[in-house]
Amino acid sequence: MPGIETGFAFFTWQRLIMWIVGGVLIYLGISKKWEPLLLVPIGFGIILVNIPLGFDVMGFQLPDGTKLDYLPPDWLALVEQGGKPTGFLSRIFQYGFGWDLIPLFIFIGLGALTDFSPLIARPIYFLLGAAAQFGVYAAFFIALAFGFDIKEACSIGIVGGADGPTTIYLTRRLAPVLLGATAVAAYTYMAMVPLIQPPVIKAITTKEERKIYMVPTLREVSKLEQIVFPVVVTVVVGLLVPAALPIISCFMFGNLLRVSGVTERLSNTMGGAFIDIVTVFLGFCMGAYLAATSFLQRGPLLVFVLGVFAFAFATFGGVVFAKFMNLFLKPKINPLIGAAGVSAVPMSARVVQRMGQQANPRNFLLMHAMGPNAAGVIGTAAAAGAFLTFLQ
Amino acid sequence: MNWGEAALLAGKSFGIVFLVLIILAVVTWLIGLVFQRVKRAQEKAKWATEAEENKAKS
Repeated sequence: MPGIETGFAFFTWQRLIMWIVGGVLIYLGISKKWEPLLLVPIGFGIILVNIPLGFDVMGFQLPDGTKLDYLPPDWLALVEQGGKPTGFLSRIFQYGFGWDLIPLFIFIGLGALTDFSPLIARPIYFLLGAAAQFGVYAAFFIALAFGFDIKEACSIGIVGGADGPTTIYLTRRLAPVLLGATAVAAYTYMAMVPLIQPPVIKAITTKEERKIYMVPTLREVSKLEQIVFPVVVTVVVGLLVPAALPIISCFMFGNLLRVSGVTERLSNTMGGAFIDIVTVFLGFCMGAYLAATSFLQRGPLLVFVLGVFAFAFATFGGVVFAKFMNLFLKPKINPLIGAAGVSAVPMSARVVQRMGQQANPRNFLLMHAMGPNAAGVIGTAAAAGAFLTFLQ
Repeated sequence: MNWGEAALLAGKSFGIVFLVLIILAVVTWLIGLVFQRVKRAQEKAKWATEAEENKAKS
């Protein structure tokens, strides 16, 4: 009778470190309430995949028949050579991420939850969404300086867009080896926006600038305008950057369901149960992709460091551009809203609102900040599409 | 690392982002302008009709 094979013999200090990482993410999600819907599943997934011999969880069988208890970073190439996922999560991962389904499904849900009215009311906020993509390109160059190749640098740069699904979508295509690291960096730093943005904003604005008052209300946007908007954005972006079409079309489709007024059931489902279900798989699978063997390497760890720079530079780009716009605008805009061009919806808009009120209690910037926030999502999708156009 | 190639990629890509969002801003602004004008015209017509009706009644 064969002996019982336990995981103890295969336990390593690297796996212990990953358990701690997973534990910290669960702690931040539960205790600090930082993106709990994502950090809790990611944290649990990390702990799970680093339990030895979990072949039926995130396992993978190599072309030569060898079984692994984790999904190797180059799994896509290995599948083409005859390898196959053997765990329940690795199978979900294969189809959910290998076919880009999960990030795109998330976008349908996000679209159903997004209100574009502030952006439609003041289209000039599109420019702030574009300027905040500066973080993508700053992080791109820093990543190159650290020795990453051009495709990896694009995937690291896109973290600065602060848009999880776009980061996953682009990294899966350009640098699948970094998928877990970029995704977790994007979501972790999105949760940390209230910590990352304020020091950067304070460093580049004066108190007088932060005090600038903006009338809290925007013009009323008609229902027809709201319906036309997602169709127009899809057509314009689709014609200019076809590679961004999957992301933008899903985002705008979800929004059309929201604003049409006749698909309330679909909109409620997409923005509620549907996005929740997909988020569970996204978080759980992403966490389970972070096995010690593939994550505790120089590359993925550097991604984490560079992610902070990406977010900081994105904030810098948005705020500085808002100050630049003030040279021409009357009345002036509060440059804080430039920071909301970082598309961490609605986290960065909330940061702007809070800082605006601290500087001037009369200020209520939330509605204004939601404009660049929504534009930032479109901007990041366009940046990802542009990278794909030039590199695929 | 070919920095020239990287700079070209980043420049073109950032340029595309700005171009796309500027076009979207202009198109959205124009659509808003048209809708607001149509709305104003409709309201004017409505007021005129109401005024005529009131006149006729009085």
